[in-house]
Amino acid sequence: MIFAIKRATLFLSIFTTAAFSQTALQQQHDYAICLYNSEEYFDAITEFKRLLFFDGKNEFTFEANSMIGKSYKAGAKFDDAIRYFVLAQIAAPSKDKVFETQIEIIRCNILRRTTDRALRILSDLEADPSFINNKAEINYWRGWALMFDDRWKDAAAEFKKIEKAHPLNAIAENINEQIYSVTLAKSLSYIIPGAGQFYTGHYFSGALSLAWNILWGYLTVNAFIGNRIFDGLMVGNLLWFRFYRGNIQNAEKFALEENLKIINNGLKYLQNEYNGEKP
Amino acid sequence: MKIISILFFCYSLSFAQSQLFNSPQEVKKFADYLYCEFDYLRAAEEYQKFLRTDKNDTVIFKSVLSYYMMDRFSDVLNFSVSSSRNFVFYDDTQFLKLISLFRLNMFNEFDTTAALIKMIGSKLETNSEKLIRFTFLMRDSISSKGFIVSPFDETEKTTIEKFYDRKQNPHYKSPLLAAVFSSIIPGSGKVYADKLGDGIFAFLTTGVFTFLAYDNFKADHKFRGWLFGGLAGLFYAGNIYGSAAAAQIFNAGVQFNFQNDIQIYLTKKKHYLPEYDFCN
Amino acid sequence: MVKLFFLLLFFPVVLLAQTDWQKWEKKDVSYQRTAPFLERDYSLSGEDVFGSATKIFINTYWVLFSNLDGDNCPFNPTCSSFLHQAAKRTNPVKAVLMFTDRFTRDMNPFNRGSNYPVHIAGKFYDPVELYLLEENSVHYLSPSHMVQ
Repeated sequence: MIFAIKRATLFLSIFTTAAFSQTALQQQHDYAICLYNSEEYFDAITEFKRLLFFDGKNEFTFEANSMIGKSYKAGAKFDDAIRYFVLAQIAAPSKDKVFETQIEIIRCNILRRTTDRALRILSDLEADPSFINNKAEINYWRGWALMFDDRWKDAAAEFKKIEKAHPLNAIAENINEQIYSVTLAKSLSYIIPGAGQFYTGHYFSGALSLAWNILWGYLTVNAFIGNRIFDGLMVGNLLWFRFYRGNIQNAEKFALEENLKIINNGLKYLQNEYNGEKP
Repeated sequence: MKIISILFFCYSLSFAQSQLFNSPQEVKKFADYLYCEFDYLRAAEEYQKFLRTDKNDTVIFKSVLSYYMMDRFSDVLNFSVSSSRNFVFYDDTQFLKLISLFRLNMFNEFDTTAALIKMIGSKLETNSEKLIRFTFLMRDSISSKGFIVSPFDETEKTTIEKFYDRKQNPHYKSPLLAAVFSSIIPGSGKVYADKLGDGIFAFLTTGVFTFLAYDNFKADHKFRGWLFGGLAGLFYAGNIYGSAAAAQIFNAGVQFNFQNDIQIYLTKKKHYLPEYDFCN
Repeated sequence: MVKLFFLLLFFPVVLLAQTDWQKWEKKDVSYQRTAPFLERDYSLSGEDVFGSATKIFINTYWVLFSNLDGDNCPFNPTCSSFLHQAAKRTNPVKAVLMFTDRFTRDMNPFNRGSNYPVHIAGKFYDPVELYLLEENSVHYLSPSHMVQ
């Protein structure tokens, strides 16, 4: 509470000075910023747009566009956010600001799960010699993009590049170790029906799958041995093959389901408990 | 708490906000800009802000038009009230109200507004008459073809006549007939209700089970005979039921497509709203 | 075709500014993924005698067969759920008739796309309401419609 009051007083003092500051444009800017800080994002955008409209000398083009982008981002409207960040980037007054805006675009891409795009922009930034000093930041956001893209091992490697004991490295490593291999689950079930289910801990389903496959396999083989070709084809096709295929599908489904649980636990932790910078 | 205190402060700041950008003329300029950027809600709000201190016919109309562009028809109805008879855009505003009532399917209020438009001899009376004819096509009322097509010119006449014919003679299928067909030849009712594939498969299923029943009875497999016979009976009955249902769905589809085609046609015609070029 | 053309024609304009046509508030997106998996509802609550009997039968079928033989039903609701819902809405006889009809339609692999609207999960949407044969029970959905 005390902290909140301190913060409020801080804002208050900043804005009081701002309110009496120089120009009309500056006042308009401060008002818009104030709305942004009070999380009135829709109205903040209106005021930033007003600022842009009356800003004949384009003094605020970069900042207003960038703030509009941030407002849209806060409303989870990432397509619009990116549109305005791109406008801001065009008007960016320095290389630093260009980089800053690019990172914002990357973060939006991560959040809207267009991670391919995020990774491509990151590669472009890395290839640009003017951002040679921003390596750590590029690796950090690439790590995030890879985590959202389910490539936990690669993500861990990126965080490791920044620092060996990077906390996100440990998290990504941990999740990577827990994840079941979908290919392995499927392959096991190809060889022994139900084995993939056992691998993912679904014992009842695995046992039942095995039982059905043994039964239908036995009946099919028996029919062929007894020269009842029609019966053999029918049971083999309609039942044995159906349950065999179902068994493989199930192994895959269980592996994916379990992985989703693990991944979601990880993502939940990252969103709620992790204290570093997030997209 | 923090946010409330900042917000409170923002409002105090808004008083200090430069009057330069908030004079009615500047507000209007900004609103016009937003309108041309398709940012209609912000434009409408700015127009409303302008109207709190000033009166301007064009602004009233453009604010209503903004709401219309966003398909916010109840707002169109709310804000069109402030237009008065001596305004240049009065007829246009009334017409926007009329389209909105049409699109909200509020046909009683539609009739009242249409009557008013006719009474004042609006310049958009023909447009309004056209919309009225469409309400006749959409409602359960009977009127002559001549009356329906009268306000339309040659280019539209054939289309409207086709709509009229579709309304008068919808190509419905009778659920009863579908059921009767299927009880004579399994699946034929489905074919009649425009479900050829379902019909063939119904025929095959019933046929196969009947054959199996027959075959087993012939070989003196009583139990299997009864089993397959029972299944054949079930599929036979189910298909009769399903054929009637398919005909009912077909009819719902006919109704839906008729209404939908009218909507598409009207969207293409922009509901007979004249073109307004405020941005060039 | 014409419909598609108009859709495409209006789409870019609409996309341009539609975001702000309703006032919106701050929104936090969850990092977590949503599960695309089918959740079975095995509960018997709120069932009468016939409903419970059907449900127990269906639950057994799910556990012993349906969960194990792969994803075979192209529809939403699945055939077994369709039977259960039909039993709930009507009487046993009608439910069985509706089910056999559904079963026949399930066997027809042709033209599903032009006969049924697609459900968001990629299944064809085919609710019991369409087949009750009651007055005004059919709420027609165009096959080009995407059901949420």
